[in-house]
Amino acid sequence: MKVKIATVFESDPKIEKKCNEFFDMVGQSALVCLRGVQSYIEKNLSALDEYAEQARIFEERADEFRRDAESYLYSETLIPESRGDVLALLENADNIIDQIRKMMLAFSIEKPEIPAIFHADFLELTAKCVESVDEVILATRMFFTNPSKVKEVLSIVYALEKEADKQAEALKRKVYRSDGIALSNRIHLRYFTTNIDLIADRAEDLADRLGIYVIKRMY
Amino acid sequence: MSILSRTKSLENRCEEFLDITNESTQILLQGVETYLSGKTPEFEENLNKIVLLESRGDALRRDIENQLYTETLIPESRGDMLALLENIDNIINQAKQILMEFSVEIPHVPEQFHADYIKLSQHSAKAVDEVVISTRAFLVDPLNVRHSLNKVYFWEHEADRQSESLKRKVFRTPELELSEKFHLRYFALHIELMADKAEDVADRLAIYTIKRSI
Repeated sequence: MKVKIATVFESDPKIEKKCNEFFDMVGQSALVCLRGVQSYIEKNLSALDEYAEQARIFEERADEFRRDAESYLYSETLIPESRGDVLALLENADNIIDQIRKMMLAFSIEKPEIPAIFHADFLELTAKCVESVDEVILATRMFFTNPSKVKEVLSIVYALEKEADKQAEALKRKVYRSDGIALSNRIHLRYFTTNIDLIADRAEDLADRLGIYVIKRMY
Repeated sequence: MSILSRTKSLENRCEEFLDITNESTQILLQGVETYLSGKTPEFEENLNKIVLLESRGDALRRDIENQLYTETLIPESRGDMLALLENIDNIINQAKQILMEFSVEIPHVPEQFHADYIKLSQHSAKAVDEVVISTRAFLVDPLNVRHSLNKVYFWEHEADRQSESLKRKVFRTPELELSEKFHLRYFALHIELMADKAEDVADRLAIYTIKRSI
């Protein structure tokens, strides 16, 4: 194997601080998402609305931050060899926050009727997706400080995403095979299942990018 | 000059990846037909095949990507190759997704729409087949893909038209519940989406061709 190159931020600690703040936001919005779904299942709708509002604030702040980072990276011509990669990572991380916000907003607006037999499934699926976000953010932070360790964490992200897919599929099968549910309700429950599962897909997208950038840095 | 002329093993892997894409559309077609004709065991067999193909496609794509970077192959084109592979992978994923949705949601498709769903699947599959031909052509001779790209756009357009006509028919059938209409529309949309993904690949190929001609 060839020699590992320097960390991405070696020449610019300022952007490192900014990026870390951004990744804090992604991690926190994932936790907000989990608490939001838990609140909804517990029928605590005011708490759900508060969490949905928090997700909205994170999403707006993240968008603003990402745009600032883009102009900062280019106008200050810092880390020119890596800035395209850094921007793509920020954009992919931003997609996670966007999906969380979209999902929370959908809960707040549409208030789907979730029969008790599916409560545990929805909670488990959400927890799995949140875990995949947590791991991919951990991997992203490592990429900026110690790229050689990232691969191990990425394999965890992929495993979690696969599990989330399996859970989503099992939940949908259960929904479409349970008696006494109107087709319109089944479609509604499927919509929410898909949207929760998409959070793990967004985490996987970020993991794919990281995988490539790690190789680029190692060889 | 061929993009992969210096890298035989990479060329073979790309060919294999494109074979998987072709095979996926064939299985998708069989899957839709067996579902509509109520042949459940055959349908499940098709579903299992496409799940395996998709998983092989994912693994192969990641292998190719690793090879592109670790062996520093075709450095001038690897970004394009990467995006191309990811976009083609989206087609395979979509084909699997369609059959998975049929299996999970077991939609009730009245017989009067069977021929329309089959036709829509055929048009979408045709768009994919043509984009695979374009991609093979691109890898060998990047400046001569225009002819096959036109066919991708043609079949994508045909799939759009067929999907629209099917949806109009569904929404004008008075004996169906609104929820059933939504459900049928959802499946039409997702089959049509496969042709859209083929068009995405075609758009990329068109740009890469221009880049290489300047």
